[in-house]
Amino acid sequence: MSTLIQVRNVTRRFGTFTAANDVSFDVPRGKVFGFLGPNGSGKSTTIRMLAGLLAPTSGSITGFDGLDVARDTEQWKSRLGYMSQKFSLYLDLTVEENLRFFGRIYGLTAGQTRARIAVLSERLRFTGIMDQLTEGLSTGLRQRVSLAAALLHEPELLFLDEPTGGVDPRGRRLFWDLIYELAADRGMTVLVTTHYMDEAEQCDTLAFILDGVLIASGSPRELKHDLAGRILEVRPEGDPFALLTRFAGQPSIEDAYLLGLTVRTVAADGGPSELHRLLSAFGSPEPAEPSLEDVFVSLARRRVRSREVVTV
Amino acid sequence: MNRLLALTWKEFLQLKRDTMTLRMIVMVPLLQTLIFGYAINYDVKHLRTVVLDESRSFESRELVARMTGTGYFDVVKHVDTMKAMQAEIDSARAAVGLVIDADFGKDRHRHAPAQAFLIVNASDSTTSSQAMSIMSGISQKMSIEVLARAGGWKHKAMPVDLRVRPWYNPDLRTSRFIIPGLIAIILTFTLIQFTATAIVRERERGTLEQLQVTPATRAELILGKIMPFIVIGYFQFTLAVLLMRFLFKVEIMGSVLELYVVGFLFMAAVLGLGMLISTVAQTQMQASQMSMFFLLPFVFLSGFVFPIAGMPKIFQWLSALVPAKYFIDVIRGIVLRGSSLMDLWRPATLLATYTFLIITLAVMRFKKTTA
Repeated sequence: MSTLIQVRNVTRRFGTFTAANDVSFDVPRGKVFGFLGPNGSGKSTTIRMLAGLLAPTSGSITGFDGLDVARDTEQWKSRLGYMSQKFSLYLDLTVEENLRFFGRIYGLTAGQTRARIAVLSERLRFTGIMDQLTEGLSTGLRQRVSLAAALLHEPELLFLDEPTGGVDPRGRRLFWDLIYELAADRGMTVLVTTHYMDEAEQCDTLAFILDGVLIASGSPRELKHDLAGRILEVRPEGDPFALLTRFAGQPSIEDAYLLGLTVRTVAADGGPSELHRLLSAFGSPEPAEPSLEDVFVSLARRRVRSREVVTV
Repeated sequence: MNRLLALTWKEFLQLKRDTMTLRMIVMVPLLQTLIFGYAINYDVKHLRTVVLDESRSFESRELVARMTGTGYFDVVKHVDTMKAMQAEIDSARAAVGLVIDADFGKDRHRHAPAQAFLIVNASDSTTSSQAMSIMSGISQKMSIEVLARAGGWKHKAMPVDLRVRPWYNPDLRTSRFIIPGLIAIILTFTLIQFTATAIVRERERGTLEQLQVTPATRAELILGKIMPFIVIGYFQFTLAVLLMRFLFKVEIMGSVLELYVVGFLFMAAVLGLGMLISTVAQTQMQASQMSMFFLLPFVFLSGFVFPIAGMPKIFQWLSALVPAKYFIDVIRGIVLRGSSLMDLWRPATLLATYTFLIITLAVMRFKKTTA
């Protein structure tokens, strides 16, 4: 598996605040790479540095077979497409004017642009609205036109910054099908940030950032491996909330939360049998498959605890 | 180059759909030239005057006749009491009141000082100071005539004959002085606001970020914003120059080409200021308000209406920050005096330096806020 982008020891400070702290990871070529983290975690800062919008305070970002984002910024940018959560086409231009404009900015000839617009509008199903101002388009349509603008110059790497914010579930489904299709048949690499765990679940590789530090990376399966066999669910007869309060502070329980009327628990390292005994008092415990959500909640809690230890 | 053209083309497409801005581009120079050209007039003629003539003599009527003969005063009413006169001036029905003493005629013959007094509405300083200077001129002339006769001066002409030659504006028309300066003000007014809001709008909507992930360089992005506004600026400049030349009949004594060359420097400076505002303002509203905030001091400290030489030292220094000051020096020189750029090398060089500094500063700030 070859690497498209290498991020090495990248740190970015804003004054005294460190938004990204010694972050290193590889983006594999031709895969869908998911970048996850809560708001304010340094996720956007890292993405912006990768897109060449922001210079790192220290560290290096290289890729595309020998380019350096700091040195070859213009070439670097011509190799990538970028679609942000904000709708970033010109509202007072028509769909066609917007696409023609971005085609020219990326150095495409008029003929190339026309051909690309024909292909993309067909594939993304917006052929009938070429002369409409983008201001009047629905969110789903706008999203597809933005995607077309980002794909005009056939980039090797596509950045999607929370691309499905404000889009309904069906629209999200369609959008993702399309992304996979594009990634598969063109060998395009996709780097996506998202809040949705079901979207993260479908990425080939994930990186999870918190407080500016990369705390885990790997395939969804690898990330879940750590929690395998440690999730137990119990459906209590009585009040499940009361159970949650009783579980608080138990050394054998790393985490416990409600899933409907079921209490889902994560055993502390090496304590699943003890947890099983504890839960048996309230019903019959069932093992469950860890979800990515379990993984990230567990990672985040461990991070918070380790920080508390440091500060105490 | 192709990218730069694309950016410029995009800007004009957007402008084509922005009818409000389109209207401002045409109406601001048109209306401001008309309004300021006609309205600002320091040469106040036909001041409404009320007369209380207690003397009712040949001499008092001669005084009034000399006064109205200048064309600066129109006698609108004769009153019989001080009270009635005060009512006229309090109600602003008259701006000037002339009170002639009961003994004015008699005193003239007795060689005692013949007395009259002039009341002016000094809440309007331009009008009142003009009324005062004209009337004191009349009274001095009358006194000198009497003295000359008494001293046995037999000649028709006075012993000293000093005449004023108002060069470059022989008929002392205010519009000749105002309109060249007004062109600088109009360009400042529209261009600062247009650039500031155009850049902030792109940032607000996220399109600036979208442009920054493209291979377009920072220089291309900045020039792509500036060039369309230079074109708009030249359009407004030409419109104002045509109005000045053909409506207000102010002839351009110097080179029109030089005017357009210096015009470029000035517009670039103003656009740089607009860019500077755009790096500070977060919203289009803020950008618009900040532009307005700068406008008033720019008008007053530019020498457009009030002479800079008459200002306290600190304001004279502050006026160095106003690009219109240099441009007004140059444009008045070229239009009114027919000076060449060689004659005007000082303000022209200062303007070029200013433009260079402001653009450099704006580009540096632009870099900081976006990258």
